[in-house]
Amino acid sequence: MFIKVIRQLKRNIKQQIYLFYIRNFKDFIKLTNKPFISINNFKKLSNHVYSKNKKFNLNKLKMNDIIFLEIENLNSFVEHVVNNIEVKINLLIQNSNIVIVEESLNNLLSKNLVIFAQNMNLDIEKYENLHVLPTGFKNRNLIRNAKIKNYLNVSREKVKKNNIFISIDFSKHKNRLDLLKLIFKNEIFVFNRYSEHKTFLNEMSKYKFVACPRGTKIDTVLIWECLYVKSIPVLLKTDFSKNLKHLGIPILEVERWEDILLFSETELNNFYQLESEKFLNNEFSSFLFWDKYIKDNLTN
Amino acid sequence: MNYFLHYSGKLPEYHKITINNILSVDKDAKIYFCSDEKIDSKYVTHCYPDQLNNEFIEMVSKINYFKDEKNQLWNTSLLRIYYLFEMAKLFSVDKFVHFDLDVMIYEPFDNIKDNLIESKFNITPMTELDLIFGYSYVSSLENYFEICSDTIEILNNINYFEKKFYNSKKVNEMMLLNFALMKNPNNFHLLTTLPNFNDNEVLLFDPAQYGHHLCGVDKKLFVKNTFEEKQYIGREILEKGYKVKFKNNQPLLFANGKKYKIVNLHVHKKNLHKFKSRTYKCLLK
Repeated sequence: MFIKVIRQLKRNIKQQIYLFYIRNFKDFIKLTNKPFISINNFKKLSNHVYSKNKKFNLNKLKMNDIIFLEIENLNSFVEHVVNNIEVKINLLIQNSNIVIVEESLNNLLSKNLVIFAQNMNLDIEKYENLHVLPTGFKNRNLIRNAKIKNYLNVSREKVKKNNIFISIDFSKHKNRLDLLKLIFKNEIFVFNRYSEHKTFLNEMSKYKFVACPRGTKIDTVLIWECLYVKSIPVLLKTDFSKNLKHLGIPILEVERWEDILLFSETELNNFYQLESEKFLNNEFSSFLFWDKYIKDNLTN
Repeated sequence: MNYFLHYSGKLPEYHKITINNILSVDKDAKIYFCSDEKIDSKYVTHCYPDQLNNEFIEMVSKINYFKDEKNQLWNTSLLRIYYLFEMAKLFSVDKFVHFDLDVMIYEPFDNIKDNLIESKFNITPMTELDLIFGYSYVSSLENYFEICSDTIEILNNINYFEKKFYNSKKVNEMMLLNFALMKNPNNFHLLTTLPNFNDNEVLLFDPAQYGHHLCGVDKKLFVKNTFEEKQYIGREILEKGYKVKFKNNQPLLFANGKKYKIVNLHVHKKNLHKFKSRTYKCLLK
């Protein structure tokens, strides 16, 4: 009993310190989680960070510079920067709240810019100057669920079970409820109750497929963690999923969640064998992969 | 609104606080109470569990899922799902709010109407596997009947569900309701427990975590002020750092510069006297 109380007290103190950090210091600390992807790492690639609350010096802007901004600052950016420059620049657009569709980009697509945008449901093949910016892992400054050692120590099982792993908050988006019905009835789905990050990663790595339904955003951390453990994300077919496929990322697209059931066990296994070959030469959740992608597509 | 409460065994003293709090917050509240011990009050319509025997209860008793459990609480918690249905029939009530006896409310039903969906069973989700009576609203008996039938069907095949979802361990009534949600999601509406910045909703419901954080947990020390990563709310708050406070007799959540009212608190610690609503009046003495 005494040991239990001490343990709880220790846990309490640790959590209070952590919450104090999250509430007061998190935003001032820019930790990188290289070699993996996270938005902070992309931010570090940029030459300038635009925010409507800070003065932006247009004179400092050079040809081919990379500017990082959050989608909430886009209208202000167009008004103050895009409409007043003649040089060609690159934009990295972070977006944590909405799914980007054509209107969200405020006519930027017709401008002399190269755009990399997060959480985007737009077909990049239709626009020459539009590219994907992945959500990636949680920022390292979140500490608890962004520990690099959690990723480095995960088993990344090579021999995987032929099932579809599910571990999501069903209250986050009403479309997720469609998946519930399937889990209930079908053996192919393996349901996991989240306990903590490391256990979750190890558990996920045991399965060939992971259901990644959208939450408030279309791109989720789950997709990139799933790819890291060399499991294949199952996604509903959208322009977003089409983009990932176009980039050579192994995913299983379905029109409706029920369509997963149309695959026989052999078909799923064959699909995994074929698609998982893409893991041999690529680490889709690594910064190197995306650094190269961004650099290959920047303005010249 | 009709409020259904249920308690099995000797009534704890705090039941009066729960009842007084409901009557103080919701001027239109009608309280129906099912318990082994009689409550004599003009404010409460009482019934005994014995008055509620029906097909469902008989079926559950026959299945006797918790026969090896020493603690009867598991069984009565399970039976409560069906008692509620029978209470509604007994009192000819079609719509009602139900929550655990250790839940305090801070908003009258009329204020939360827009956050509920009629014709569905509105309930608070706690984890991927648990729906909990932190707050629930039955808006149609037909719909609730279907849920009761689903849970019986699940109980009849419970080994399958224990194995698939809970490492072959015994499940509880919260999980059983969650299985019913999986079976037919259209019967349910999961109440909002966390802020969604794309919506304008400013009311949040407490499955258990806000109460654990503000009030503590019964028979556990040093749990107050902490969050549980296993619960949806705990997980999100540990990541985003939202603040939860009990200010001027109202639980509140502060997130991204916005203030959200929490409709109810699940006071697991049973120290309900510390969490009375602003309008609290001692009507039931």
